[in-house]
Amino acid sequence: MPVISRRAFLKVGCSAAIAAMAGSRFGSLVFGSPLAEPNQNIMVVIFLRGGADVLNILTPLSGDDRAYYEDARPELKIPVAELLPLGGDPFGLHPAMGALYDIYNTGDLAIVRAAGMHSDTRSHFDAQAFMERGAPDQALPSTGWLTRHIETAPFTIGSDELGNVALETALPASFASSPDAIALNKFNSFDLNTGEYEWRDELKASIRQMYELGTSDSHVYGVNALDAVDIVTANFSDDYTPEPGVVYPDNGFGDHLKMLAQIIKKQVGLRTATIDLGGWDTHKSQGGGSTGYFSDMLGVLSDGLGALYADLNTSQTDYRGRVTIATMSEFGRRFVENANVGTDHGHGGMLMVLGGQANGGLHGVWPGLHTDQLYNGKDLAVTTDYRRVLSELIIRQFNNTNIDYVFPEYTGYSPLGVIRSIPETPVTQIRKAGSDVEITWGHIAKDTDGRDVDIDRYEVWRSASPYFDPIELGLEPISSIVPPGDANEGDPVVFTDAGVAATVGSYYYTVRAVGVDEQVSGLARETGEFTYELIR
Amino acid sequence: MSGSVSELSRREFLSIFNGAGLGTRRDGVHSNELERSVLRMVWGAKVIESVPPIPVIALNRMGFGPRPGDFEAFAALGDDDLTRLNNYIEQQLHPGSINDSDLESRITAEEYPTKDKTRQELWQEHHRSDVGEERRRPYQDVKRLKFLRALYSKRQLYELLTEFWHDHFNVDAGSNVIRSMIMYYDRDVIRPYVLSNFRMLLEAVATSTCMLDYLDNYVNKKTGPNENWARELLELHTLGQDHYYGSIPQEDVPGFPDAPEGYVEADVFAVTRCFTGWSFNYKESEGDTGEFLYRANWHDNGSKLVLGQTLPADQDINDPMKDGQDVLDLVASHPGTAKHISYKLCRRLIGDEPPESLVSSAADIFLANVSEPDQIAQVVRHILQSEAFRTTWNEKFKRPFEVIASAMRGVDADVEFVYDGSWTNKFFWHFNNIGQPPFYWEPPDGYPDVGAYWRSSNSFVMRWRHLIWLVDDKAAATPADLTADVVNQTPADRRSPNALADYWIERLFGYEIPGAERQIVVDFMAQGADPDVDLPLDSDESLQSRLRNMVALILSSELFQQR
Repeated sequence: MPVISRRAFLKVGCSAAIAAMAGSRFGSLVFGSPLAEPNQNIMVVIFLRGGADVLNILTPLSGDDRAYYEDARPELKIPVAELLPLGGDPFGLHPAMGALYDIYNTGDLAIVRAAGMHSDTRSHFDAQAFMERGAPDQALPSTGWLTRHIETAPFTIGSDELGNVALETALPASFASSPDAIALNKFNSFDLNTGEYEWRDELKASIRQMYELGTSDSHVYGVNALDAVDIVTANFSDDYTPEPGVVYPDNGFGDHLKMLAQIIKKQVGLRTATIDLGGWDTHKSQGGGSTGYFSDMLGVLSDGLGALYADLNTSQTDYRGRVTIATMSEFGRRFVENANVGTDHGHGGMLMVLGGQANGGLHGVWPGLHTDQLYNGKDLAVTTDYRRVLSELIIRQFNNTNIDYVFPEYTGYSPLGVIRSIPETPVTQIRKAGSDVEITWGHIAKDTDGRDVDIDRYEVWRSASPYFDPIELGLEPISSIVPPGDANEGDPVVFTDAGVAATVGSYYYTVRAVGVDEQVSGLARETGEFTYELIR
Repeated sequence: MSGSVSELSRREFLSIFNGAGLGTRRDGVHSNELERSVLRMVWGAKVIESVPPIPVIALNRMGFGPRPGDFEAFAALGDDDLTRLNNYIEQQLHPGSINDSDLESRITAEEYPTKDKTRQELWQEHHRSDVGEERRRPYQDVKRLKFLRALYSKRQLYELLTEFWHDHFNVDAGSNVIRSMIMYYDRDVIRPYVLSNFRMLLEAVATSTCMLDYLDNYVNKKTGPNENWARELLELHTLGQDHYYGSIPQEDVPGFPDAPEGYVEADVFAVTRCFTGWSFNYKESEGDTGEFLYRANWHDNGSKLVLGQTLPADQDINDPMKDGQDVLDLVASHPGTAKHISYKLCRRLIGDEPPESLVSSAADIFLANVSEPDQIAQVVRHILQSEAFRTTWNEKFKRPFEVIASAMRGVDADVEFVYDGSWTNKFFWHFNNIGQPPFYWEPPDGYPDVGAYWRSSNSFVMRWRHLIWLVDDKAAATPADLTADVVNQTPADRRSPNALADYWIERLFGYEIPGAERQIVVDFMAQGADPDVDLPLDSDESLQSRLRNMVALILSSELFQQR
C-alpha cells in the first residue's frame, strides 16, 4: 500500500505517544504522485446535442403551470399519472427516466431547473460554441472551458496517465486546442497494429521521432496520441464485464460509458471526461407521453447513466464518491409544440449533476410558464447561468478557483449548492490528563466556502499504528460525538479516551466532521503543544 | 542548429529567414505560417524553400494530391510555373473539357446499379423497399463513387468542390430517407451546379427530397409552421452566423429597410412562412413518387417582411412558390451571403484563416455575377489566382478523406470498390474509424473544415492505422493482395536506404523535405546498415516488408498531413 510514502505523520513524545494524521486530500496535494489515485475527483460532462426538450424531462405536475403546459402541448404532454413525482415538489420526471429517478431518490442527483445561457441565440452552432468555449455572446476564444480548467487546475497529468479524455472520434469544443486531452472512440483498435508484425515497433518509434521534431499543434497532438496508444494497449480492451446485473445500452453512448467505467476502475489518473449524446433536435415526431422517439432517447440517457452509476460501485471500491457527472444541452425548446408533433428551438434548459458528492434535489429558481413569465413570451426563462453550476464543480471538486480565466467575463459567482458543502476540517488539540487522553476541537459551523453547515456528528478513530487511514482500512470509529443543537462555531468539543494511558503504548487519533447530508470533512491533523518529531 | 527551437525568439526567426536570402513578399500569409516555415528551415540539415513549389500546392489544394504523372502533365502546361498554374486553373474550371476516360471505364467496370436511377425510381424502388439492403444500396454506391472519383478523376477541382458543396448543404445519410435518395442528391442537386450559379444551386437544394426531409420543410404548413429549414437557410447556407442579430426588431438592423446587414428572429419566422407548402410527394393517394410537390393549400398567403422587403399577400396564388423564390433571390444576392460563401471557399482552397482582403474581393466577384451561369467558377478563379493561394502552405491539415485519397494517389493504388467485397468493407471500416464517414455528419453544418477539429488523438491513430494497412496489410497473403504494392513500384536501380528514401520522398511529396525528417526515413530503412550500400531487396522478404513500412512512415509523417 503506497499510503506511507505519501504522508507525513506526527509522533507525539509522551508515554502514550499520540498523533493524528493528515487527511487524504492533504496527502495527495503535497505528495502528488503522478498517479494520485485513488484520491482524486473525476468530472464527467455529457453534452446532449441538439437542444433537449427539458419541459418534457422535468414536467409540471400541478398548479397553474400544469394547466399552461397542457394547453401548450396538447399532443406532447405527459399525463400526470405517468410522471415520476419528485418528493413534495410539483414536478415529475419523464417515465422513461426510471434509472435516474431511483438515483434521485437516494439523494445523488441534483437537477438545476431553468438553467442555461443568457444569450439570445437560437442557433445550435452559436449556442454550442458559446457554451463549450465558455463565452456566451463573446468573441469566441480559441480554447474551451475544459481546456482552460485543466490548464489551471492544481493537478498535473503524467505522460503515463489518461488524465483528460473525450470519448469521441474528435475533441469537443469544450476541449478545443487542449494539448492535454485525448480523443478516444474505442479501445480495441486504438493501436498501430494493422501492418505486418515484423516492423511494428520500429515503425511506431520512427513515427514518434517524426512528431517529436516540432512543436506545432500537429506535432504535439501526434506525440500525445502515441502516448495514449501506449496506455490504452497496456490497460484496456473492449472485452469488459461490468458488475453483476449492470446492463449498458447497446449503442455508441453505452459503449462510451462502458469505456469510461473501465478507465475509472483502472485508476489511470482520470480527471475529466466528456461524452456526447446527439439527436435532441426534435422538430418533428418527437412523440408524446411515455412512447416515441424522445422517450427512447431519454431511456438511453437514463439507463446509460444508471448503468454507469451502478457499475462504479464495485465489490472492492465504491467510486461513486469521487465521480460527478454533469449533463447539459445548448438550449431548451419552445414551450408551445409545433404542428409536426415536435418542438422548435427555445431558450432555458436544465443541468443535471449526478454523483456521490451531489447535493440531491431540485435547485434553481423556477420562473413559471405563464406567457408573462416566459422568455420573449415563448420559451422557458433562464434563472441560473450554466457557468455558475460548472464553476461550483471545478471549485469544489478540483480546488480550481480561476473562474475568471475559465469563464471570461463571468462575474458574481456564488455556489448554488449542487455539490454538497464540505465541512471545514476540525483542528484538534490533544493532552494527557492522568491516565486519560483528551482530544479537543472547535465546533464546525462553516463549509469550505464559508457558508453555514450543520454537523450531524464527529467521528473519532484510534490506532496503535501511526500509519493508518481509517477510511482505506475500513475501520469503525471508536466514538461518534453528536454536538448539541445549539452549539456555536468554535465551542469546544471534547473526546475523552478514559484510562487509555494507564498502560504503556502508543496511540494515534484522528477526527472528522460529518454533515447532516453525510458529507464528510477532511481528517483532522493534530497540532497540539506536545513535542513531536516528523517521521516518514 | 539542433538546439531547442522554443528558445529562438521571433526576431531570430526573422534574421535566419532573411539571412537565408528568402525574404520574399508574403502578403496575406498568416504570421504563424511564416514562423512555422522558418522553423522548418532551421530543423532541416539544409535550408529549403519556405513553401513548396507551385505544382505541389496546386495538386494538393486544387485536388486530392499528385498521382504519378501529374507533375509531368503540369510541367507541360507552359514555360513557367505561373503560366502553368493559370493554364491548370482554366483547365480545371472547365471539367467538361477534360478527358476522364480512365475514371469512366473504372465506373463501367463495377456495379453501381443505382447510379442512373431517377429520383422517383430511387424513392419507390429503394426508399420504399422492404429490404434493408435495397434501402441502403444507393448510399453504398455513392460512397464508393466518391472515392473512385477522387482517386481517378482528372477533374480534381470539380471533385474537391463537389465535396465542398456537400459539406455546405449537408444532409445526413444516416437517416432513413437520405440513405436512399443521396444518389439523386449528389448527381442532380449538387454536381450540376458545382461551378455554376449559386442561386440555381440553392433552388435545387431547396426543392430536393433530401433537404426537404432533413430540415423538415416538407411538413412546414400554415397551420403548423416548422422553422428548421428557414433558420439553417439563413444561418448556414446563405447569410451565415456573422449576420444574425438575434431577437431585436427587424427595423433595428443596420441598413433597414433598403439593405439590412443581417437577419433577426422575425426574419426566420417570415422565411418559414414563405416556404410553407414546399414539400414532396410522400402520400400514397398522390402517387408516392418522392418528387417535389408544392402544396398550395398549405401555403401561408399573408404578407411577409423579409430582410426589409415586403412580400405582398396572395402572390403565391397566381404565381406558385413566388414567396419562397423571392426569399432565395434576396438571400442569394445579399452581401452577407457573398462574404460567407467567399470565406468558406477561401478557407477550403487556401487556409484555415484566409486573408480578409481576399475574402472581400472574392465576395465582390460573387455579387457582381449573381446572375451569371459561371458565377461560382469566377469566384474560385479569383481565389486560385491570388498570391495568397500560391504562397500559403501548411495552413490546412488534411481531413481524413484528403489524407487517405492523397496517400492512395501517391502510391498509385489500383483498386476496385467491389460492392460488399471484403476489401471494400475493410477499407471503409478503417476509413470510418478516422471520423469522417462519407455523408454521415449529423448536424446541418457539414464536416468541419479547420485543422483544430481534426488534430485529435483518435484522428491521428486511426489515420495511421489506415495508412499502414494500405501498404502493409497484415492479412494480405501476397503482395498482390495489398492495396498498393510499393515494392514492385520501386525502380530496380534504387536499392540503398538513401536511394529508396529519396525515391519515395520525391514521389509522395514532390519537394525536398527537411533533412531531419528525411534522416528518420533513411534510418528506418537502414536499421543500422550503411545507408549508401544497396540492400538485397529483391531476395529478402523482410526487407520488402521494411520498405512497405518505410512508405507507411512517410505517409504517417506530420509533413504528409499538410496541404
